[in-house]
Amino acid sequence: MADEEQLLIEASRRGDRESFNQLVRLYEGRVYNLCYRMLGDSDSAADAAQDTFISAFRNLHGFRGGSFRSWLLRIATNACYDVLRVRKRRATTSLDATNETTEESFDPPDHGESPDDFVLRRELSTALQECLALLPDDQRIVVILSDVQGMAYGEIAQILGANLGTIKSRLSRGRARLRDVLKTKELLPARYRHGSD
Amino acid sequence: MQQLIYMATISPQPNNNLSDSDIELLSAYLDDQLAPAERRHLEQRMQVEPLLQAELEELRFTIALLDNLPALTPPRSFTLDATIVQPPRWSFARLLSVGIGGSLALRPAGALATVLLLVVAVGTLMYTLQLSAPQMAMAPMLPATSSAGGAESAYSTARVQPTQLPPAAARADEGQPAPLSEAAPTEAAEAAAAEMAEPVEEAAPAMGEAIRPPAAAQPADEPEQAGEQDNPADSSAAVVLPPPTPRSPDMGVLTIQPEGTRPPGIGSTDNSSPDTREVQPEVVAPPIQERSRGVAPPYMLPLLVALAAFALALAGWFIWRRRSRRT
Repeated sequence: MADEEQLLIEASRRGDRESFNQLVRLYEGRVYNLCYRMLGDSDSAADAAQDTFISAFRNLHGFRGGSFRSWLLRIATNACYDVLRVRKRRATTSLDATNETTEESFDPPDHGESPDDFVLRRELSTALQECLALLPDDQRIVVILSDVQGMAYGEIAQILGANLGTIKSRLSRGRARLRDVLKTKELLPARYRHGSD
Repeated sequence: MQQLIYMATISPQPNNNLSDSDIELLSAYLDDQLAPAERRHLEQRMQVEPLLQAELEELRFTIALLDNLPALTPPRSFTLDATIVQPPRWSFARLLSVGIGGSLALRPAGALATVLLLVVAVGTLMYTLQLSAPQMAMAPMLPATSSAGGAESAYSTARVQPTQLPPAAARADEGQPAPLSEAAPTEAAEAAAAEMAEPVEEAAPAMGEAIRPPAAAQPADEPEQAGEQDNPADSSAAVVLPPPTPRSPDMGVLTIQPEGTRPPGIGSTDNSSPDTREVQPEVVAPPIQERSRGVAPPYMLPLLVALAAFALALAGWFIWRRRSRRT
């Protein structure tokens, strides 16, 4: 897999667009999900993901080896920061958009999943996305990379260009803050809790 | 999912009694990032500190919720086609389109490049105009450049100092450009000045007898001696002397260096020696070409080209820095 990825990278460096598109297909889901969790709406996330792959293709000569995924997610993170910076400049909030687009882009029910479970899953996801949006940017990106994408501290540090201590600190503060938001805002509907008893 | 919802029902109230370091320890414990000794110590503390144990369960619940977030399907494919992958956005034309819909990141670079290129363009235009302008227009600038001293000063003074100070020269000293001689028509003097760049031998006959200069070493503050030098023997020097240059009022204050400081061959106190007077103009003739070009220095054009290259390099550096930040 790694060898195949390396071959695709080398071919892409020579300008082979189709080889690069194979890399895009490998990582577009992960990149889009990262952008979506950071930005909170599907349109901005899709634009940021597209910018990420365009930028990656144009700057492949700057890839010095190592983890291509980390390099790609670093570009995606910077693309998200750019969007967030523009949003702050325009003093807009994306929370309303989150509610709409989450429902639109939500996956259909799995086989065997009851309609109630599907609705429950969708509302819980919406609530969590709202909680994530309340975290500071530097804590949110660490929480997403660690707890949503399941990456190790070392890779997160590589993506964000920070040391391990900083990653640990941001992650613990982000988790604690998210925990507080979950509890104090009571974003989990009571009927779900009753249903579990 | 049902398990997560169940965990939500048993979540205790927010607990603010733990320090940040304890929460960081618990977070690292959940990720299995603690050293064995730290891990054992924390587990021992949790057995006796229910608050720590409760906090651990809350964090574990939070992480489990995030871990169960569904992976979203991208709304479209992000594969690149030929229309998406275009040449870099920072084309030269876009650099110059400052503020016309350009990217915010490129505007400073575009503005800088535009300003510097304008400076270069104006400088080049001025340089070209100076080269093509008649020498008459440049005459007032001569004293400033010739006052640098040395052989050039001596030569300049001698070159414009007539043997007999005619009334016209006196008018020039009063601040008016004047013909150098009553015998030489003004038109002739102007024509001779316009041909300044031409070989001296071609311009010299237009000067006339009255503008024959004295010996190059003749001090300006000794007009009497200059008058004494006006003898037929001096006419041979006019053959190799450059054409006259209209004098500005400042020309009168130019001084020739004292005898002791003159470069060899420039001047001599032996004014009566015709041999010396014949040789002196030939020795000092080359500087006149340099002086006529000194108004627009020859290094001006390379300087402007270097400035343009610097402007482009600076703009490129801005773009490179911006793009490297993104990647």
